[in-house]
Parts: sequence; C-alpha cells; structure tokens
Amino acid sequence: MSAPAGRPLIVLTGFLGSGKTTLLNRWLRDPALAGTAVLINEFGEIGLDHQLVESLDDAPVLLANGCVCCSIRDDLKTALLRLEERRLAGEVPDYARVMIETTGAADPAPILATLLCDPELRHHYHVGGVVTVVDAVNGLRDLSHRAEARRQAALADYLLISKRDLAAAPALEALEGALRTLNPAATLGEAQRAHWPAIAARLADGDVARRQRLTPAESIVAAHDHQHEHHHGEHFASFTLCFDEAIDWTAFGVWLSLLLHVHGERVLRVKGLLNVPGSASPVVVNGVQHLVHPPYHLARWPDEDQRSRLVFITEGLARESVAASLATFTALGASFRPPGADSSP
Amino acid sequence: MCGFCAVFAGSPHWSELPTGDAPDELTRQAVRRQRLRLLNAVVQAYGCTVEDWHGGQYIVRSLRGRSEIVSALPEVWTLVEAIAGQAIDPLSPALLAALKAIKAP
Repeated sequence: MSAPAGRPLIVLTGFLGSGKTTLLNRWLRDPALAGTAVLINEFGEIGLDHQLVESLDDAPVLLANGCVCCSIRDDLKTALLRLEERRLAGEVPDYARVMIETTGAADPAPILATLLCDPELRHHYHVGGVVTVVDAVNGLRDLSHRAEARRQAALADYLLISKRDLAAAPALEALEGALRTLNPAATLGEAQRAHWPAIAARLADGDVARRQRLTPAESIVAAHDHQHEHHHGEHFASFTLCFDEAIDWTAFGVWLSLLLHVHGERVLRVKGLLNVPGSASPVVVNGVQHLVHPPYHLARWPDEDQRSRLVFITEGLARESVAASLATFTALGASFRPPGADSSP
Repeated sequence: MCGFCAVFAGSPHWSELPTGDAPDELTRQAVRRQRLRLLNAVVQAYGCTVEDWHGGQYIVRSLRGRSEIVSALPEVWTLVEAIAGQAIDPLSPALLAALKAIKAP
C-alpha cells in the first residue's frame, strides 16, 4: 500500500494544566519542527509566538449513531481546508505539517475521525500521530479520576511526561508504570528539552511508521510479552494477544470490522503487527474505537520474533473472549482461503 | 460514479484495500469470494445471505425477500442487525460455536 496522501496532522493533547502549550512553544522554536502550522482550540494565557496559528471554534457535530468517536469536527475541517486554500493562494508560507493543540478536557477521537472519514480532507492530510502530555505531579490522579485523561493516554502514540523535576521519584515511577500498563503500544518519553531532539525527529516525519520506519513496532515489541491483563478502574483494561500462526488478512478484516461495529465504543485502541500469509513483512494495524487507520506493511520485521501481536485497550472486554473470537474467525476464514491467494494489504 | 447504475464509488473500506502490490483480477475475485463465504457463515445465523454485486458492493438478502445493496462491511453488519432485530456479537459464545461447527471445504 502506498504512503498516505497529504501533510501529517499531529494531535497534541493532555489533561488540563499538563503543560501542552509550554511544550508546544518549546517545540516551535526547534528547527526540527520548522514549517509547522498550528491549530489551537483557544488562545490561553500562554501566548504562542508563531506566524501560523489559527483558532478553532470547537463545535463538534455528532453523527447519527451518537458515538463521540465518530463525531466530526466541522470547525477542524473548515480550518484545515482554509489553511490549504491560503497556502495555495500564497497567503501563508508553505508548511510541512499541522499540529493541533486540543483543550485539556478534549477527547482526541473526533479529530482522528474527522481526518479518517472526510473524503475531502483525506486528500490533503493524514494522521501523523497523537502526542499526549502527562503531568508528573498530577498525572496519576488525573488518570485515576478523569475518564478524559485516560482516553487521552489510551489514544496516544507518544506519551510525554512533563514537570518531572517537580515529582518525587516513587511517584514518577508509579506514573510511568501506570502509563505503560494503560497504553503499552505507546512510546513513553520525557517532555523536557534534553529528550526533545529524538522525539522531534520522529514527529518531523509525521507518523514515522507510515514512512516504513519502526517506531510503533519497537514499542509493540517492548509490549508483546505483556500477556496478562491490566485493569485501570471502570473495567478499563489493556492486554496483548500473540499468535504463532500467520493470520488470514481477509478473515481478520471481517472480524475486526464486526468487533468494532458492535463494541467500538469500548475498544479505545487496537494496535499491532500481523504476520499475514504470503508476506515477508508485517502489516501494521492501528484502530481507535470505530475507526481504523489504513493498514500498511512495514519494510521488515523489527526483530526475529515474527509472531502477530495486537495490543487492545478496552473498557469491559475480556481478553479471553476477544482472543477466542479472533481465533475462531481466522481459523474459519483461513479454511475458505483459495490456494495461493495472498490477501494482505 | 458508475454510468449505468448511478452508484457513487467511495473509498474502499480499510479491510478491502488493494491486496498486494499489484493484485491481478483473479486474485482479487478469489479474495472477495473468500470474504463472502465467511460473511455468509456469520450472517446465516441471523436469517440473511450476502452476495457480491459488481465486484465492489454487496447485496444483503433476508429470508423474507428483502434485499438491499450496501458498499462495505459496516453497512452489511448494520443491515443484517436491522433485519434480524438483534446485534451480531462476535464475542457471543453461541455465534462462535456455530462458526466452529461449520465444516471446512
């Protein structure tokens, strides 16, 4: 499958007071993120000194099925298309990527839905990644008490801990442990300047995995021994499924589309690598609630372990139940596979 | 848009994106037949069948004769659920038992 069209859109989110704007200001001064257009929900107390900052109205339109993850942000669509028009008209400098800073209580899912579902936007932009900032002092409390904070962490591709110097070592360790168990598929890092260049280099490429590098896969590898289930209150759990056998892609597509159709609101995240018949490289699967990013092949396996690995972050779905269902669908689907047919994307 | 049937062709569902680098038509059709067999194994328990329609969409039929054309898997599920009056839960032990009982060809 070819690379996604258009410029990457990077979602910068994090709970109230986590330090998103501080981080954004620091990032925008870094040459690695030159040529970044910024969309923000509101102009806060910390001003952004940047030539390409646009405001959003934050007026989501809820679709008929009533699911928040499928609500379309009309304001975002308008802003993104307006930005593109102004670029083509020469009214704004060319930009390599767009970064959107959400409000502290925002659920990033509607932003992803807007990009993934809108046929017009799909030609101009693609999801470049979700970066979630977590406050080292208050992060653990926010994760425990606020569903929005858990969702922001669950949907992250990158989890960056801010204000580390203000937190005691045991508290920091507890927070890191909570984040790793909540979202084992995400890359965990520090928001401090010292660790910025590596993250900037990744973000400057948009979603690095889409460029056939190995970032998400590396984190999947780190997580794949994570077979047991972790609970995070309110039936919130993450678990990883590994399969020794190659997984039939057609059957997997039927199964996951049905699982997300029925239980999409409870599947906060599904992310992983699939070993599919007839392919030497793995297929990357990346889903958020009812939405699935277009799957693609990595250039190669990140290590010698070529088992399929899927990380799920769910609310109230049991690991055994999901595993049994996937195994049943793929076994039957594989039995229907015509000889020699490679059905991978 | 198809000039004969006036159907808009949208972007393919993620599960049906082009297979391989350069899939030939025979392979594409074989994969589609495979998908239809699995779909029918699932929806038969809910009183429906699914057929191919012009190689890009599906016809969902009920035992009572209702039929509708849909374009992608989410619409197949929505329509079958509407016909059956119940959700098709892939985690349902009853559905999984029914699928396991199907003999491989």
